[in-house]
Amino acid sequence: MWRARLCLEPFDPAAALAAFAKQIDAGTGAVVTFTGLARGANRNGLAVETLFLQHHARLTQRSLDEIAAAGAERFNVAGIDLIHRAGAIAPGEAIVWVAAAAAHRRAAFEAADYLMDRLKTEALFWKREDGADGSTWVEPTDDDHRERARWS
Amino acid sequence: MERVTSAFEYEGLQMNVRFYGRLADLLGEQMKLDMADCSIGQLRAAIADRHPLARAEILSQRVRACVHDVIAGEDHLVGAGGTVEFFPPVSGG
Repeated sequence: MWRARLCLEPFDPAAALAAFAKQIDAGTGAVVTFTGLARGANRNGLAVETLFLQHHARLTQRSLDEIAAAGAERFNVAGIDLIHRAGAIAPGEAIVWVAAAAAHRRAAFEAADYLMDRLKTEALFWKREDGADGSTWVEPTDDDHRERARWS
Repeated sequence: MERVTSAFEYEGLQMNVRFYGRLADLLGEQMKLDMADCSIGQLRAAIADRHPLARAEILSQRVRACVHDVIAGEDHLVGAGGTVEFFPPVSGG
């Protein structure tokens, strides 16, 4: 069981977890979640007033589906759920939320880690930081690519 | 490689190009070009010639071309009147 949602409005990670928990079966012994928040400062320490994530009308959802399905296929998990924001995001708001449920913790941890590494480098978004000093488009870092390569 | 239509059939039609991310800042979100059938590589070169300030970006192989929602290689032929989208590197999370 997996699900991936593109979300154009703020969402509540706690509510997402509660809904996910209702769907897991009796054999589940572990749920791992990760929530990514919009930071109020960029890599250079400058204030970010808004994080803007541009998405593609069709291919962004497709990329999220592909990543969630791959996680469900690769790990011994009972369920995967993920939510990804697009549009204008204020500092402190959730950008991304992933959840993995499994019989035992290791598979759930690994699946959540894998999903995030792929989302950072392959989810179809273009990310811009808007601040008083102007706007900057953000691309995956070398570290992001190294983290992704661990799963190759 | 696929070639669905001839240049003759679509003579006078324009190539529709869409840009995302930093490319949209440089070139606008949409562009129409008077071009006959061409490859992705030829389309990149034509855009670079018309917009020198965006030359390095549009010619970068880190920028992927997409036709009919599928990533297309440099030799992929696009008929006049077709639509090509250009994607700078993506980043979620």
